[in-house]
Amino acid sequence: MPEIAFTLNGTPVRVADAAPTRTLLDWLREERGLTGTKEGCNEGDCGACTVMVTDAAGPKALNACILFLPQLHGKAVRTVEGIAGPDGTLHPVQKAMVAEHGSQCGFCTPGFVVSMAVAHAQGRTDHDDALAGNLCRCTGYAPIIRAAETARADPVPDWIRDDVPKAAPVRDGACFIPETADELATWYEAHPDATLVAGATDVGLWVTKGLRDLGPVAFLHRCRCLQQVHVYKDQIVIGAAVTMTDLMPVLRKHHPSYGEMVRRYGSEQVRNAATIGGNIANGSPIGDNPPALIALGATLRLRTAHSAREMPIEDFFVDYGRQDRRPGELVDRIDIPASAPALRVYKLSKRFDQDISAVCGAFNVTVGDGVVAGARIAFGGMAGIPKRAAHVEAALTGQAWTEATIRAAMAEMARDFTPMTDMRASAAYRLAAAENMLLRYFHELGGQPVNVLEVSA
Amino acid sequence: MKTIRLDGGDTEDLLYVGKDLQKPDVTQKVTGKAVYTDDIDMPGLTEGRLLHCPHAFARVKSIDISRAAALPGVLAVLTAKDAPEARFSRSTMAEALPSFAFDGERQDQRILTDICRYRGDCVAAVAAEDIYIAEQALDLIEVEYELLDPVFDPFEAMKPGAPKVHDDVQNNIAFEMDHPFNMGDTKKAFAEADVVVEFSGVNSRQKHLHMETDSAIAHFDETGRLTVISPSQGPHLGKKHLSERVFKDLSDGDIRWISPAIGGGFGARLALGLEPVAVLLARATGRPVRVTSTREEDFNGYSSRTDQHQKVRLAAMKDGTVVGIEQHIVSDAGAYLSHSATTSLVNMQKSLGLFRCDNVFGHVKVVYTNTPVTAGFRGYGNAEGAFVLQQAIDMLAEKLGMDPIELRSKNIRKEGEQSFFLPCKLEHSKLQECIDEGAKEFGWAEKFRGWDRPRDEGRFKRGVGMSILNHASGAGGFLLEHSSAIMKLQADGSANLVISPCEMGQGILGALAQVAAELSGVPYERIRVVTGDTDVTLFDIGSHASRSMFVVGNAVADCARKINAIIRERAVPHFEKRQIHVTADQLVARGGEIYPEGQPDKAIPIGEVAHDEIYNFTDAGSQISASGSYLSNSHHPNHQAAFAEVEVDTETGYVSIIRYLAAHDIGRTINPLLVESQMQGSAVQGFGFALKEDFVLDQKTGEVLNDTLLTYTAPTVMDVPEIDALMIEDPFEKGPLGAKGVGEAGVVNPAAAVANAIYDAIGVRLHSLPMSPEKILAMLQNDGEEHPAGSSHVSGQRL
Repeated sequence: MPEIAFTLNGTPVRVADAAPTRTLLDWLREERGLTGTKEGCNEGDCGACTVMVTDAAGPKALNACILFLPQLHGKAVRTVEGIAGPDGTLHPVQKAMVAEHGSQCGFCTPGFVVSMAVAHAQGRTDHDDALAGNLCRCTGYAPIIRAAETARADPVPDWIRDDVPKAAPVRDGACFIPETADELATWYEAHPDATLVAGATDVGLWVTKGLRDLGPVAFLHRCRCLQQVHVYKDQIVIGAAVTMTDLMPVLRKHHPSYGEMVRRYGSEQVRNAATIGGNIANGSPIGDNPPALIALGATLRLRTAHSAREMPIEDFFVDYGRQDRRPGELVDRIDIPASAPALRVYKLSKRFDQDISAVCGAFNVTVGDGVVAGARIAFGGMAGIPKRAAHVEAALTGQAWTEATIRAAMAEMARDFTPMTDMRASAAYRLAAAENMLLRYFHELGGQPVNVLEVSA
Repeated sequence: MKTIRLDGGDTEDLLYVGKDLQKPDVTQKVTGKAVYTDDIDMPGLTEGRLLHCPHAFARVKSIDISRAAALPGVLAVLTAKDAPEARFSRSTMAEALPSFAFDGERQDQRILTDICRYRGDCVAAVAAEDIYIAEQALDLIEVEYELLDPVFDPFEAMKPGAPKVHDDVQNNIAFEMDHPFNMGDTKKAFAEADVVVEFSGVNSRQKHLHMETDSAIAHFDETGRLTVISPSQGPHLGKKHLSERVFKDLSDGDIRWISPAIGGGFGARLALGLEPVAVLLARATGRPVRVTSTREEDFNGYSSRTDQHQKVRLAAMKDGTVVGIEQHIVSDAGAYLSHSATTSLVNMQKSLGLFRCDNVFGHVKVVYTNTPVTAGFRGYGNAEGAFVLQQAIDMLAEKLGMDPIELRSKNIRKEGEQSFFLPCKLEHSKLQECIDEGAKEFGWAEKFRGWDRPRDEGRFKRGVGMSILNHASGAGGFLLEHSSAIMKLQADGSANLVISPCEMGQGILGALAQVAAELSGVPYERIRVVTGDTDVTLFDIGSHASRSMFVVGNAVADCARKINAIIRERAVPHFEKRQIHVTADQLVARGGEIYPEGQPDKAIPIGEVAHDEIYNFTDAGSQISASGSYLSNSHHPNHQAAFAEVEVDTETGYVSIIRYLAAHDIGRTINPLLVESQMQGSAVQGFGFALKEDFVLDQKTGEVLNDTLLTYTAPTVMDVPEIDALMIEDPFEKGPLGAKGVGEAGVVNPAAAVANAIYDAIGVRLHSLPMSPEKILAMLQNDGEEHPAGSSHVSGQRL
């Protein structure tokens, strides 16, 4: 691996002798003896390995177990060992955790402390959201939330603020860290078998769980141009490497139902890493973005070094595990309309957050003069790909917007989907829930109070 | 959090007890400095990995380790032929149980095996210079298996002709017994009763999910003595079990067991985990070896709650007097017998003993299947039982037209009455007060709208439910329920308190130090707790059964009182020197000082006396020290009453807990915040047990399908309400300063109270856990018939 540079608990470090897929967690524990950061699952589910990573946009909480060292190039990392002051003064969140008995067995505590210190530095008050990515089996969470509230009033200590270090471009055949999308596209055309890593919330598991050798890897975090969101009058253009965290405020403003669903997407740490392009490009049938994007009528743009092409996003998903992406082609941007007042997105999962949807349904029906003028309805978790409910849409279109129409359309659901039974839900439950979602949508547009947060199951 | 003091207020002037003092080990935990087993480094440390059988039932036909052994950096590759022939149970309880009470824990497994009875069984173990080499070596081991027909369901397993999980066990019945205290004539009682109800149900295999996965280090030193380092809940029993059952050439004293910080236990670590295989590898390599499991290995291997299929029948007279109770249990041991038999017995003990009744019958069968080994989990059978019994008692209340509170109050065993556990009186119970005060705080009288009220209109329907429990403060009479403590004073008046409990998060070290401070006179902040090394601590059966506060607390109290007496006695000459003539009895030692009663202005520091006992050349003679012990002869139950209000979404089947209140019969609260933390944490585990946590096995392959923290869906902060905790205080004269236990009880009531609340909301009773949206929706659509739990391990078969 070429040399990469970051700061660790305020001290500059350079690493050159590690594999590009070496995770920060393993490196901290095995090379640096920093064992405060814990391994609870090694796949980003529990938050025991949470570290603070600061870049130009400020500090973020990330899971170190699925964070590759090159992703830190040009950033500042702070582990639990760097949360207290250099003279040993406890950080306000640490003091509060002590006072409120927020730590029992203590194994999850370092991760909580780091998540809390990040949220504290950001001045956040939504403690539940900020800490939903940290699992605790002992406390029942209440003492931890009390600690977060107690610490809120204290000022952010000076020592916790990190400067972002300078970093030289890394243009190595096996580990490429481009600065622009053009550079990336050129390299990718030459290395079509390479793996592109944006947030590594999925690719990380190929390494930590699949024990796969990825071959050449490009890390996208320095491609600023892929991380932009542009809001125009009629449309919003989203770069493929925009994280879910950065996308959430835009969605909450323009598509509030979709924005609320994203609040339940992964967890704080996962949203801080995961990108919308990654969620689309890996073609998972259970990703939560595609149904909403399909219902919105989003356009996907793919590019190479020399050409680009666009398609309706639903066309990208060809079959289970197969997408319409040619060798050397990368997902570049997603365009969505700036307004779709009828869009509603419902996520059904066992847990409120940190959970794959059993069913994720997105509905966007246009009604004029009491008659359905157009319907875009899509589901995740109901088929091998994110898919439109074509028969349901047809049963609605041109019909009066009434409960009778809805009930007739609900019966069409079984023609569109033959869902599978797995550990998340049975086929029958999935189908019944999908049908009920359509009824819910009708009631909601009719003014009954219903929102995405009520749908958790 | 609220405390209700029954005797009208505390007139005692306590310095440390009853206060929210800081735990001694918490600063290390919030700074990341606490050291867990996998954080340890030592010279020459090697890493071990295990090869698990990928089939539910198979015989190893051949195994070729030559390529693995030849890999540079590999130090040992071991298979079944290298492991002791001796059989052992993972549960260490056999060492602590008298044979008259229990003789059933079959010792039935080996460290490495060539007959694989579930997918977690280990066929080979590797030690290597690092974990990456060890992992590579696993890939190079070639195994040829002969596949055998597996059986996954306990009812199928008992049928004639079913595959035999163990050759020497007929019908796969690993353990069977009537409850030892069955009494009266239930047949007659049921025949003569006015009302009879019957309810059956089964709990899921809830995983302990300690955040630290299993880990162990073993090391033989230059003299050949073995040191084990692991997160054990009971290292003294562990070393006895390891030497008695597994490595028979070792004896108890040949093993030193060190417990570093423990990342959660909840009962899983009241057992041998990876210690035996670490010892085997350490012997083979002559080097220290660590074995740490991955999260997936924890899910696929040991352990979970035991799924107990239960049928409960209750008989009562018209006035609500319960005259007969019957309970039949069929429990699934998985592939080997661990705590599944004892937890089933404890279930019976609690379920059959809660209500006053002369005709009682209980029977249990524990059955082998080719599934992961089940065990004991916080509540130890009680939570499994409450889910069924507490629904049955509500059904009885409905049939009789009685308020659930009234029926329970009429039948619970009261203080001074005969106890069911042992032939002795129930010496202390404030369960009635828990029910009454809890109901008042919760507003039960307004919220419970009667059995025949119409259900709420619309999509969301609300309901309330309650549940009560009796639990233990140690299992005196059944277990070796004794403990000892040592205290010694340093020359500066500070003290070391040497105690045995394993600190796995419950905060017991601090609470015991509070007792020591209150009774010895040494200030809390000057007591340093020493624990976690069997060469230093005295025998103790470990942290479980809500025993530490009561049993160890009494040992600490005994020790601290002795220290206090010695301090006063040795202080007499110091007062003489000051021309103050007193006897030891006239002195008070408290808060770091000694003074004649009523004259705190004449105080001298304890440190002066402690110093002179060591360093005064003329008077020195013996450092101030004492040991104290306690033997408990009864369970001294603690109790809890809980009240839940839920809202059921009839479109999705999703249940929200709107409010949950638990009232606990605590005796005395040593540290209120700690008690509340135990109540909060255990209730949230109970909510997971009630609504979310399932253990899904592929019914064709026996594979655990949800073996990650993503797919297992334990509650996050978003899923759970904050509970209202009510502490009902009434110091129990046998407890240390009046305290009883608290750690486990809170997990017992949630599933039962929530199940009763769901019934109140939608009129259907759930027979299996978790009460998932899918089951509820199906029941709503099927007129109350439960959806066969096809995606769950539990068979759905009812007794």
